[in-house]
Formats: sequence, C-alpha cells, structure tokens
Amino acid sequence: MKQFFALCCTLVLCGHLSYAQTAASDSIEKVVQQDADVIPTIAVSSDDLSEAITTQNVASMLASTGDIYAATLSYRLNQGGFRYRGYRNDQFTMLVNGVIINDPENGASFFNGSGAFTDLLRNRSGSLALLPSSFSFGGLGGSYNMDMRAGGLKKGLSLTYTAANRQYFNRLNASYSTGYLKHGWAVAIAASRRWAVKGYQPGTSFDGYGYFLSVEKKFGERHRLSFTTLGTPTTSGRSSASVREFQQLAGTNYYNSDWGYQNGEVRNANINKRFEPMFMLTHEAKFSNKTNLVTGIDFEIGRNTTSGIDWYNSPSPDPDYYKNQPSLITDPAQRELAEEAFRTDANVRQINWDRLYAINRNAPMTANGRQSSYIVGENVQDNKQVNFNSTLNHTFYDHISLTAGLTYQWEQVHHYKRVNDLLGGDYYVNLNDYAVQDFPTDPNVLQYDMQHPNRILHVGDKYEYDYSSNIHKTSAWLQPYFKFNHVEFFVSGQIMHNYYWRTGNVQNGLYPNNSLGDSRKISMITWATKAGVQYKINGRNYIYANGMIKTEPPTFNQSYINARLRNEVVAGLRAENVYAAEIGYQYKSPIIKLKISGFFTEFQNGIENRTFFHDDYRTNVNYSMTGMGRRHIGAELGFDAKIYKGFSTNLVFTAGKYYYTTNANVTITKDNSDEVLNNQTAYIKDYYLGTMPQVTGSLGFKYSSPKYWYAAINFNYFDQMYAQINPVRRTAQAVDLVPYGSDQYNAILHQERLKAQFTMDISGGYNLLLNKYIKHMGKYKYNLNFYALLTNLTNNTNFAVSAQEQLRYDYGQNNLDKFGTKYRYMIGFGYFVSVAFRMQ
Amino acid sequence: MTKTNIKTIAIAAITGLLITAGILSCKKDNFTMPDPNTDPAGVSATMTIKAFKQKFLNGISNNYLPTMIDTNVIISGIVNADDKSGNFYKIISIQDSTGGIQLKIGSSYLYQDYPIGRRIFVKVKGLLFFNYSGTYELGGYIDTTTSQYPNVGPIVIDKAPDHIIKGQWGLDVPVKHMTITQLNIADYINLQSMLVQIDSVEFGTFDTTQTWADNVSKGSVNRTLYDCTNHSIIVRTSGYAGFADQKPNPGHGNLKGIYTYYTISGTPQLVIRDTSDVMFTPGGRCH
Repeated sequence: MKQFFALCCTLVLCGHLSYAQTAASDSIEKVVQQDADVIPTIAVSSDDLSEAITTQNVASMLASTGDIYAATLSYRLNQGGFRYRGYRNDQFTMLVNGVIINDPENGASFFNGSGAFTDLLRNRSGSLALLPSSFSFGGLGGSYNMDMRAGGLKKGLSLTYTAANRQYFNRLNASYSTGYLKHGWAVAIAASRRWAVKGYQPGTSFDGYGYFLSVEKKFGERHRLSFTTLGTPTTSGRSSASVREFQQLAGTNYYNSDWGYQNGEVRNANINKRFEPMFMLTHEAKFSNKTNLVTGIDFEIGRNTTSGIDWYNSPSPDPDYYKNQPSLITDPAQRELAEEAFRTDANVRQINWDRLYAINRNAPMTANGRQSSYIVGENVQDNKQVNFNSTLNHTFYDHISLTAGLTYQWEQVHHYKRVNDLLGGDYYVNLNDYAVQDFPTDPNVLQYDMQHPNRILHVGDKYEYDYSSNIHKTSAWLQPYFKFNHVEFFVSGQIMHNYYWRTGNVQNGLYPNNSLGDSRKISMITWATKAGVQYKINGRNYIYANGMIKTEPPTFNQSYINARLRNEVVAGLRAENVYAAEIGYQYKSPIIKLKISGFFTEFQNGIENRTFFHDDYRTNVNYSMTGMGRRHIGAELGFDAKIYKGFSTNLVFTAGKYYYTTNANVTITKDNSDEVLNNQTAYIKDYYLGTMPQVTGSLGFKYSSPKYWYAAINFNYFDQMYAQINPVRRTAQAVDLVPYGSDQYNAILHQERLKAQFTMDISGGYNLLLNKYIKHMGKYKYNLNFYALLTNLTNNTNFAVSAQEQLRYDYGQNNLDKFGTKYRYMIGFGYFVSVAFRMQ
Repeated sequence: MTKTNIKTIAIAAITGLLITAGILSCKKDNFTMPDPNTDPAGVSATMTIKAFKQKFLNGISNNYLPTMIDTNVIISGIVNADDKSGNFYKIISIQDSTGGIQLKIGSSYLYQDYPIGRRIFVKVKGLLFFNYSGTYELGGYIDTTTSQYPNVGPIVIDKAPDHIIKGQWGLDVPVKHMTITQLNIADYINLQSMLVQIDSVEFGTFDTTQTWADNVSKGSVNRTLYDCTNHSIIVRTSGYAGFADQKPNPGHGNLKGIYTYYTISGTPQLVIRDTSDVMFTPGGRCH
C-alpha cells in the first residue's frame, strides 16, 4: 500500500505542466455560456454575501475559459458549495477592462457588477488554473478578464425581467450600447434593479440598484481609450447559520435568528449596505500586429456596512445564544417548557425588539438621559482603492512571444464601528464590557478610547474600534512563450513587493502602548514562477503539464494578532510556500470532447488568526496559528458528446482530497497583554478542509432544436463534505481530564462528515425572432428570449452546504452540544425565469 | 470516430480512473492525537512545600498578615481536595511528600480544572501567603471587605492560568496512615493540608443522629470521631457541602480526610472530601 501511495503521489507530483487551449466554439459550451450569462450572482444557500457571491463570481469566471470541465461544473455544482480544486477565492485573479481588481486587503476576487449586469459580461476570457494568460500572471485558480469597454459590447437595446426565489425575487435590467459610431466613439449605458421584500429565508430581504456607463474613443485603428464607471448600491437583510437544536425546534433548516418583530413588523438586525463605485480608465495600443499594450487604472471609493445588536452590561439578546438552548436545562419539566416557548412564541424564537426598547426606556434617568443597554451598531469599512495595470504582449518571431506586466495596487480601508440606533434610549457608552468583567480594579482597561474616556455616544458616533489598513502592492511579471508544431511551452516569473501597516485611530485601554498610531510597517518581497508544456500528439490528442512555485504573502488580517484593536504583528510572520502541479490529457473531435487531469497543490507555513471567547481562560484570546500546511490533490474529468442530432450529453466529475498536512503551532495571547499565555499544538493534521464537497459529479442531457430552443436536465452529486473544524477542539487542553482513547475523547476529536447529496435541475431556453411577425421594423433585429432554470427539483431541504464548528469550546464539561456546529442549508426547489427583449 | 481514437480515449479513461483511485487512496489518516496526560515540559518544582512554608514563615514578622511573595519559586503537589462536593469552596488543597498547602481560587468549578489526583505547578511569585488561623493559604489579593482583619482573597480565575500550570492527572494521592493520638500531637505546620487516614473509628452516637452540617443556614458543624480507646478528633463539615443534609454513617471502619488545624482553639480537625471518605461497614461499633 505504501508503494502504491508513493506511486500515485509521484504520478501526480512529477508533472510540471500545462497548456493552453483555445476555446472551441462548441454548441454545448455556447449554451452553457448562455446559461451562465443569464444566471446572475445568486446566493443559493445563504445570503452571506462575501462567501456566496464570491464563489459565484468564481463560477461565472470559470465558464469563460472555454474548458469543457470548468464550463459545465461552474454553476451546476456551485449551488452545493463546490470550490474549484478546493481553493479560496483569493487564488483567482480577476480583472475588469484589463485591470486587476482583487481586494489588496484580503485578496478576494469580488466584482460587484457581476450580479447586476450579466448582459455586459459576455466579453470574458480566462485561463484556467496554471495555464499561461496574456493579461495576468494569475493565481492557482487562474486569471479572468471581463471586458466591459463600450466598443466591445453588443450593439443594441436589451430589456430583461427575471423572477426568482433566491436572494432576490425580481430583477430588471436595461442596457443600451451604440457600438462604434462615427469618429470612433462608442457609448454604453445600463441600469439594473433587484429586489425582494422577503427573501427565501425568513427575515431576509434584498434591495439593489445598479448603474453603468462606458464611453470609448478609438483613435485610428491603433488606440482605444475608454472610461467606464459603475456602481451597485445594495441593501440586504441577511441571515446567520444556527445549531441543529434551534433549527429543529423552529421546525425549519432555514431558521434565521437575525430578525424579530417590532410593533408587529419584521425587523432584521443584520443589514448589509454596500456601495463601492468604480471609475476605470483603459488605454489599449496596438502598435502593430505583433505588439499590443493595455494600460488601465481603476479608482474605487465606497462604504460597506454590516449591522448587528450590541449590548453593555446585559445578557445577549440573540435568541440562539447558547444559554438559551433548552438541552442545557437539566430539569425535564423546565426543559419542556423552554422548548415549547421556542416552538410557539415568535418573541422567544426571534429577536424581541419591543423588549429591548422597553429595557432601554426603563433605564434610570441621568443627566444625559437614559443609557441604552442594547443598541444597533454598524461595522463600517470606508474603502479607497487604486489599481493600476499595464500589460504588454509582443510576438518576436512566429515561434516566440512575450508577455510582460506591471501592477500597482493601493488600498486604504478605514474600519470602525458606529452607533446606528439607540433603540429608545438616549445614549450609549464607549466601554469594554469584557474588560470590566476581567479587570474590576483597573479603570483604564475598560476604555476603548483612552483619549476620550467614558465618552457618551449618540447616533452616528464611532465606538469600540477605529483603525485603517494601508496597503501597497507592486508587482512585475514576465512570460516568454514558445510555440512549435507539436510542442508549446512557457516559463513565467513574477516578483511582488508587499508593503502595509495598520494605523490605530484610538488608544485602547487594554493596549495603551500598542494601539494608537502606525504599527510596524511590514515590507515583504514575494515571488512566483510557473512553467508548462503542451504536446500535441495529433490534431485531436493533447497532453499537458504545468507547475507553479510561489511564496504567498499573508493577508492584512493574517498579519496582526487582532487587527481590530492592536498593532501587534504576528510573531514569525512570513510568506506561505505554495507548490502546485497539474497534468492532463485532452481529446477534441467534433463529436467528442474529453479532458482528464490530475492536480496537486501543497501549502506550507500558512498563518491563521482568530479572536474569540476562551472558556478556559474566561476571556477573549487571540489565537494565532502558524506553520499550517494543506494539501489539495485530485482528479478531474470532463466529457461532452453529441449523441444523435440535437441530443448531447455531458459529464463532469471531480475526486479531490483537501486536507491539513501538519499540526499547527498555536500561540495564545490574552486580549489584554502581549505576554504569551500558552504555546500549544493544534492536532489538525489529516483533518479535511470543511464546508465544500470534495467529490462532485454532474451528468447532463440536452436537446437543442434547430428551431431556436433547447432543454436540458442535470443530475448532480455531492460527497465528501465535512464540517469545518475548530482547531481549539483538537488540543491537549480540550481533551484535558478525558481518558485517552475513550468514547468521549474520540467524540471530541471526531470530524463530522455530512451526508452525500443529490440534486436535479432542468433548464430551457427559447429565442423568438419578432421580425417575422411584425413588419416594417426597419434594419433592426428584434428578439424575445425566454429562459428558465428550475433547481433542486426534488426540493431537497436537508442539503447542508456549510457546517462550522464554533470556536468557543466547553472546557469545563466537554459538552460538544453547548457550542455546537452551525449549519446552513441550500434552498429547496428554486426557480429562475427570465424574459428578455433585445433590439440589435 | 476512428478505432484509434476510441483506443486512445479508452487508454486515457483507464489512466484517469487509476489516477482517481490513486488519489482517493492517497491520503492515509495518520492523526497524531493529543495525549495531555503528562506534566508540562520545562516546568518543575524549585522548592518543597515544607521548605516553602518555612522560608516564608521565618521571614514574616507578623504571622497573621498576608505577605506578597516576590521571589520566583515554583512548588508542586498533587491536588488532594477539590470543590466538587462543596465541602471545600473556592479552595483546593495540594500536597507533596513533605507537606500540604491550600490555594484559594475564585471559581466554584475548580474540580473541572484541578480535580483530585492532578499534579499542579504553582508559580507563587505575585501571590499572597497567609496564615489563616493556623491554615496556610495562597491567595490572589488582600481582602479587607469581609472582616476587620485583612484576609486573603482568591486568585481571580482569569489569572489562575498565569500561576497554576496543570500537570498529569489521575494520580493516586498518597495517604498518611495515622492514629487519632498521633494527630492530636502532630506537627501541624507541616502535616496540615495533607491527606490522612485513621483506621477503626466511628462517630459519636449522638452525631450519627444529626446531619453533617446545617444546610439551611449554611453553617459549618463539627462532628466527633472516636477510636475504640476513646480518643477523639473533630470532623468539620461546611453547610455548603452537597452532603450537608445527610447523617454520618453510624457504622465503624476507616476514614480519610484532610488534616487541618485551628490555632485559636488549638484543635486539629479533619475535613472529608466526600462521604466516600467514610469507609465504614455497618455494625462493629466499639461504643
């Protein structure tokens, strides 16, 4: 077995490879592309924006590669939490109009236009995984460019209405593009509106607008200069995951504790508001057929706020707070009463806003009025960003071409909390509740802002934390590319300078000497190199191999022990080492397309930080893990065949293993001192990465009629899904006093595997050319486009797409249900139906 | 589609399946599991409990005032009494081969961290050493709120991990076998807070008709233990003990307890951890 293990790993490892392919203009791919065009950013399982939207972004990007494997799996499997090769979304480099827009602070590839303007995203190109790209060096997942410049957009008018039952229920889109007019001008405008008064999950809502303007001027045949601006002001009422006990008592897996009644009206405490408009200038110069230079600059400025209830010196108002779990009540009669109350009384099951108001209004009168015990606060991120990118492509001879690029990104994010609603009281105080409990004798520690002690807060005032991140990233890359009859290969290299620091705007009483002003400025050089080769056996058979080695800089948050409150940098801060390789075989014929590939990615010396309430130390601790290793290994299959006339079938299958390869070194510091409380080991080696299926498959059948309609059915399978582990639970401290090897010991260390799931979708589309029916329509073509996608036809409501163990752990009694795993479920039967009118 | 193509595809598909199978069997679960039941590396006692008590008793002018310890000393001992039954409250008691001492810690769930049979290492610097009417204690701060005399308050639970390092658990607590006569004349400074056992004893007839303590007003109560030659010693029980409302076993046999001494009345006494310390069988009384 050991030999076999060695063999199989070598097999995958020894490849260093891969190779570029051109998008075949196959009907299936086109249709898939069509589907992906129509499907907007939808949060299928949840409205956790950051996660759902970004994975959806990745999905629509993958479809742009023309790769049969990537195109099919992109959105079919996305609903089940599928992640391409198990990567986080910072491994996907995203560009708009040739400018990298990945967030410098956390690397996330989030493009807020992708949900609102699906019509305008047709000019996409991507290079999957380790393939070379002509516009960016690329992350492990590849690089993707969306060209939204006016001149390239499809000419004409488009109006679309969509009905759906997801994050939003209605969407209206309008866009108009002139194409190139005389004198080389082109203009495109678009507007969008998405809304749901009530979303799929109870208490959720959505209200989004979008605008888009792009103006382009072509100077001769050589220069294109464009200006594009877009924005999507969006407000959404969100939901949180919950533990099983509350979901069962509530009678639904979609239980959402974030809302409650106020005067009989639904009010959600967890509201996200986001408006981060972009202004982009892109210049493209085609100096000759052999030389092309694209230079772009993007300015972004905006605000992203998320609200929640805060409280001072009072019990938690969360209905699903752990202390409210009836299972913790030992007396059976009392427990029964508590369960009954949760089942039947909406004011127990949900936030009781009226009660919070009553408590605040009954507070004793002081000189400043009544002090609120409960308020609604907002976590605010005021974001300023500049992204600059310049990419040169030059072909020297027929066989050699060169791509070179320069990128500079600057970002400053001002993070703070502010009072949003005093809930009937007159003021709030800027004091640290935890510190009050911990240090009854030290008057300073409870001050969030020592320079303004005991400050009285009103609506709009900042409190708790207030800091800015300052980030500069500069990189340059070079990629020679060689092309011969049977062999193509490339080598590329990138070097990056990361320079960033934290600026504290308040002096926190817990860290009086290490919270105000600039932190140590972190300067780190990182590099990446990749290479690949493709061998063409004949016109239909190709093999390829690609590899990458790089150092990945830590993100801003990974670099600080607790970035919200203090300037302390993680001890031993360093870049992560990444090794990746893939090998593959491709077969391409007009009837059959097949792709088989194997991949291997190893991450070493990763860093993670968490801050949470530690029940053994009975205080907030900063949990800093270093030396973390992960391995992502797997095989992929993509198959597509025309069976007979318009009938075709396609299959994608992924078998992956994504897991931790080392135990983590944990350094625990209390939230009140620099002194290291404990150094310990989190025994996470060989645990799986959580909340994503590691084995997935989708089998589809499709009929395309020559009469402009098609219908398709897909069967999707998801397996090897695991709960995301809490490293705290895999420490010696967590199994303290539990006999080694006992049932309880094993239960504490066990990682929950979620049940395999199956879903079925059908989709169809029809295009109606109106010119046939109505005469005198001039030179334009008028189309009506119908599209319908019905997902999860079996209404499977037990598909947990996310399971996360809480970081808090019950050291006293080792009761795993006290801070149990929180689950989120995919929505049941879903529909997405649209009708579009197009004039071209 | 040509035969060659089909052959190529078939070979590719088989290779692909092999790779898949290989990958799926690639990962061998080889967890290293945490086994915490060891003493921490790099920590050991620098002084015995006996030497520690002597050092700080000698240096103290007023024996009855809490003294802040400002030297780096580590003492180590096995927990011989915790707060599980409630007979000890916010107190654990530890012993090594030379002696015992009590620690006051601000939690009523100390047994969840420091159960009987666990070795702990105490970094005493920054703690207060106090002679509480003959019982030597380590605490966290000087408490002047509860009486006119300064007392020592418990170590704040958040601070406990700074001073107390957990070691191996599940250890047997060594028991000193003694007679009541020996206890009555024992060296109380060194023997106190150690676990002792006396054999062939019984509670006074009247005591067995009463409860261990007053669980209504929560007062502590003394019960008298006799041997067959009429020597006696007090067994003192807190009204907060979970067994306070029960009556002492009317049988005869052996009894374990923590030895303490009350200087004001000059009396030695025993405190049981739980009723399982009373290892009596029915009948066989000598009185």
